[in-house]
Amino acid sequence: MTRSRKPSAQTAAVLRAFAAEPSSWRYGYDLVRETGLQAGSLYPILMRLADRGQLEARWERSQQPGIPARHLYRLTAAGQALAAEATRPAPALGTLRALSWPQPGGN
Amino acid sequence: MGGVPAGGRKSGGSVANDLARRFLALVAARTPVDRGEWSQAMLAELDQVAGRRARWRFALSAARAALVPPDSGRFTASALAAFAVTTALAMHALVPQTGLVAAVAVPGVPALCAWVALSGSLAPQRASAAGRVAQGAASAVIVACPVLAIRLIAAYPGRTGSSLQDITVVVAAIGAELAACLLLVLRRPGPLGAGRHSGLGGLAAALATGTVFLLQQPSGGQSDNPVVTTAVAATAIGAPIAVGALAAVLHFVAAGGLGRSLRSAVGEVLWGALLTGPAITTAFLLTTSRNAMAAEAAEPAFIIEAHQRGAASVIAWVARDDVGGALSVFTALTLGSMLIFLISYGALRLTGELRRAAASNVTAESWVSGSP
Repeated sequence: MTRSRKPSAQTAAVLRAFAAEPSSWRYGYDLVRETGLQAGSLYPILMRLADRGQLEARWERSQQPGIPARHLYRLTAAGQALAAEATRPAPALGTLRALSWPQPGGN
Repeated sequence: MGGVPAGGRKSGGSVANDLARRFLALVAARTPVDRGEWSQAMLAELDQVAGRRARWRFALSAARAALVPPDSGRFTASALAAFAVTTALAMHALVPQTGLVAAVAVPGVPALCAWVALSGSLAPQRASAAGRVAQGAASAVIVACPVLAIRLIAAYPGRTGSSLQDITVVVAAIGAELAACLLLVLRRPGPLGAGRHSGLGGLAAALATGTVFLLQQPSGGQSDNPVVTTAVAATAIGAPIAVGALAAVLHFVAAGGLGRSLRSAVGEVLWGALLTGPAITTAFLLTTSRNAMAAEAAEPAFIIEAHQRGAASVIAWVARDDVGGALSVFTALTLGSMLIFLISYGALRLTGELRRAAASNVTAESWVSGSP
């Protein structure tokens, strides 16, 4: 059974960053700057997404000697579906309240 | 995901090789094997970060993710932390003579070392020239601190007027030793890395620690009761030996269950014992000495008499005040070591089983759906 749980706010931020340019490969530090997350928060999210097959990664070798290769990331089709789900606008707060809570003075 | 390109592990002249990068590289070497390329990715991204403060912020934050990546050691870390906190609270409540610092250090240091040792990679690590110097310095500190502790305690009666100064030295010595222990666990020296020699080293350290206790007890202990004297001496020599020996057995067991090379796992665990055994003993010696100094005003004759017996005065002092407390402390060292490694082993084993179960989930579902 597939687990369906709403992504956390941080994961949603990462997904939104990817969703802005779905076909582009992204660097980790660029995502840090774009989402405002610390590296210690971003990388575990990327690891989880990759573990679930929602993120693909590849190494980019530098043309200059002595410069380490960099990791690049891109959402898979499953990841893009998750991003679409996560970035879907939530119902207005007033609508939720009207549905969930009895109105004052109501029966 | 593919393997790590060779260039990813290099740090050539065009890459900033400052302290932040060295720190993250040190931590990255301890990342669990299955997450190794992620730590290399973080290290490569650090090279894109400009500014010392920003680099350190990135390195420190990334270190947390590298050391405790998701689904890889978090449960172990939580179990060890819970054990350390619970033991520290119980020890401080049941045996307050040992002091708060000892109550925190005795379970905390081995728990931290065990977690780092067990959750990290067993891959061989090559040290640079500077790394070898740091390893040598850390090793020297670890050797020097117990010697300093014994000297401080033995020389105490002649230095009654400088208690405050002694306490400062004690605190500095504890800090130096714990830092050195952590450094060596993070970056093990090659000759003392996983292997048969590290196991022998651990056993030798445990035997030496126990022997020091016995040699420093000239008249067989503070108590006139031979049963008490024997019990105290037995626990004094037994506990440090047990730290090494029991850790060896538990590492041996863990080796089979975790699918590691038996030899490397035994060596890994004994190396942890080699570091933590003397650290526990030193922390206990030093912090008890501090308590004895504070108690001097209340009963100076007793304290001086106790300290005239050298390192054994720690045992004698606790034993004369409360034999049960003395036995509790030294038994706690043994049981603590056993529990720490059992918890670590159990947690890692459980994590491994859960992963295997998750991996075979698809196969199992296929089998179930295909059955009548």
